[in-house]
Amino acid sequence: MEIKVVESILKANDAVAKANRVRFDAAGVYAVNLIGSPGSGKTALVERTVAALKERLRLACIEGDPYTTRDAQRVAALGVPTVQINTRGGCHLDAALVAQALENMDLTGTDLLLIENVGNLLCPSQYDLGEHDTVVVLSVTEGADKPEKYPAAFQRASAVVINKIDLLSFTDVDLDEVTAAVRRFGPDAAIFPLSARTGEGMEAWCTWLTERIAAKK
Amino acid sequence: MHELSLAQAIIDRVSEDARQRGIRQVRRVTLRVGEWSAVLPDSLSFGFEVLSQAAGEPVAGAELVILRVPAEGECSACGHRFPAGETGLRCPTCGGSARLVAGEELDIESYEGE
Repeated sequence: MEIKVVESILKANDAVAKANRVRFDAAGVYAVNLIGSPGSGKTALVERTVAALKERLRLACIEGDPYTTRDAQRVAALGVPTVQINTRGGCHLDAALVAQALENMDLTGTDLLLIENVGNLLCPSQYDLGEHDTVVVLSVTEGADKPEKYPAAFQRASAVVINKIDLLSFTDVDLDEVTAAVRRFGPDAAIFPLSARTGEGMEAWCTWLTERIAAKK
Repeated sequence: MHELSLAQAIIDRVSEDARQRGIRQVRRVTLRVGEWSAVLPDSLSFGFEVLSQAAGEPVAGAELVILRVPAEGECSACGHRFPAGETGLRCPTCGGSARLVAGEELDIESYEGE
């Protein structure tokens, strides 16, 4: 006897993600899922973004890491509510882990929730967390071949941040080449070359976020 | 990287369904796995083999069949469908931007048993 099932193995995750999204929408929160390799500068970007926007908007952060609370400490030091999720070796955040973190957060009045995923360009691309936008953080030191090697993350991204442009002169990477590679797999993604370290290019990124928040309300 | 937990999810889903239908032995489970699903079929098969034995009836000894689904784009401008694996999501015909219409599947298609 053959039984047709035709059901995604990730159905359980998708159901929780949907519940998270309903929760965000009810609280008027715009949520972003930041995906990128370890060391691409996701936390530095969160720090810069928080510093740039915290006077104008109410922010909250969820930090995902296999181990340690280092990132949550860095972000919380800027005075925004931050919850650390430790996956204990797990390679990605899933919707249930985010739902758990939300139990410890009061999102009332929050405009923007930044969710920093575990450093990994592969597995997080398959797990909906309930976010409104997925943003990939790619640093120029990783080279221009990453979109082709990790297409799923880039095709899902509403925006791609090309970080560490202050280091371009130390690499063999050409910014146009990186941009073209991103465009191939994320043809409609907004692209923001910037340096989270020096602050160069942060304004366009923060403007985009502000517009997305406004569009959500 | 997370194939073991996916294998367990497949086993749980199929076992539950088979028990409800009174199926005592699942012979074969068929999956559809997309080219861009971030899943390694060999790891998934290995995980399924080990964990299905541990799970016992009705899935112990079942064969896992994995149908690969190539990544496919559909152009938003001209509607052309094309393999996206190498070219990406830029339409090779008109240059327009395309969306992914296949290639991220991670589906239990069917199972057989008695």
